[in-house]
Amino acid sequence: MENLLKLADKSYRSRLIVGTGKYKDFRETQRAIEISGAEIVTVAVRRVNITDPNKENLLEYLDPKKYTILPNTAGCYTADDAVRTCRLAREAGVGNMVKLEVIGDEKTLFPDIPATLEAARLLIKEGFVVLPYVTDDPVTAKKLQEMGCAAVMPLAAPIGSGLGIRNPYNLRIILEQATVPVIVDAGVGTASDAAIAMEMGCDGVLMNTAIAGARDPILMAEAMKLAVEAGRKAFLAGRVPKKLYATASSPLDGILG
Amino acid sequence: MAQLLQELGIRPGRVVVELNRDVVSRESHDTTFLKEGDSIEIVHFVGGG
Repeated sequence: MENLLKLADKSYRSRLIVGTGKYKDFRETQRAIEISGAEIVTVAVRRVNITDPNKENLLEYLDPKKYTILPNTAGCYTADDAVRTCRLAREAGVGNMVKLEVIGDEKTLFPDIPATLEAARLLIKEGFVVLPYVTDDPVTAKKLQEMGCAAVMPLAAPIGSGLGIRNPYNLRIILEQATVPVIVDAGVGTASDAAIAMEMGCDGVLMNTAIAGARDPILMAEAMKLAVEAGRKAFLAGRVPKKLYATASSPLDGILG
Repeated sequence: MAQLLQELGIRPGRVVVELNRDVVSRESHDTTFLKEGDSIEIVHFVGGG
């Protein structure tokens, strides 16, 4: 079975998408990403500090030829701001794929759904490949895929919470009805969370804090790479059904006694 | 615009500029002229998730 993550017209071998925030320095960012095997990395768009314009730039550590740079709209609270951020990102010359997030609440960082739908509509009209961060709501996921988003990215749990998949049943419904890749975005805490998402049949996992915030980010980057691969393989292999009682693994014939 | 970036010591290849909420493409930095009251944003990529 073909095992590539397809987003718009591009295919990726790795199903792990990683963020670049919260690392100690750019060197650690670079090493963690390399070990993770990720081919898509998210970045944020922010004002340049004009009092220190020659500070090192993130892109000096991430070869755009090696990685697909996925700009996000983190911190945007309106559709207008998100669209504006995407236009700026596109001019930076890293392609037209964006991670759309329109935040609705400061404390939970849950998305503002009406604003997300509105921004997605405008961005698709402008030719962007839109990967929207959404709550684990099957109705919204359906609307976004029907609108023409290249994937839907339901959260597992609040951004940076590390709580893992809080509602596997909603995620199952989203997967069942999906016509585009489903990428779990946000809330993963450790390797087993990523593996569970992949075992359920998700097409990818996007994470930042789980790696960058680990005591040893480089080691966690490797753990996540393996977890996503293991989960994907388990999904493709097809797990055994869960049963209440035992079924012997050894033959019942020829037992002594 | 190109002159402004130069005066600020910003390498144009690393940033994207917006003039009065419209993106200014890199090719048109040289031909974009600023006037009193213009609002300019200069952004770049930073670490994010």
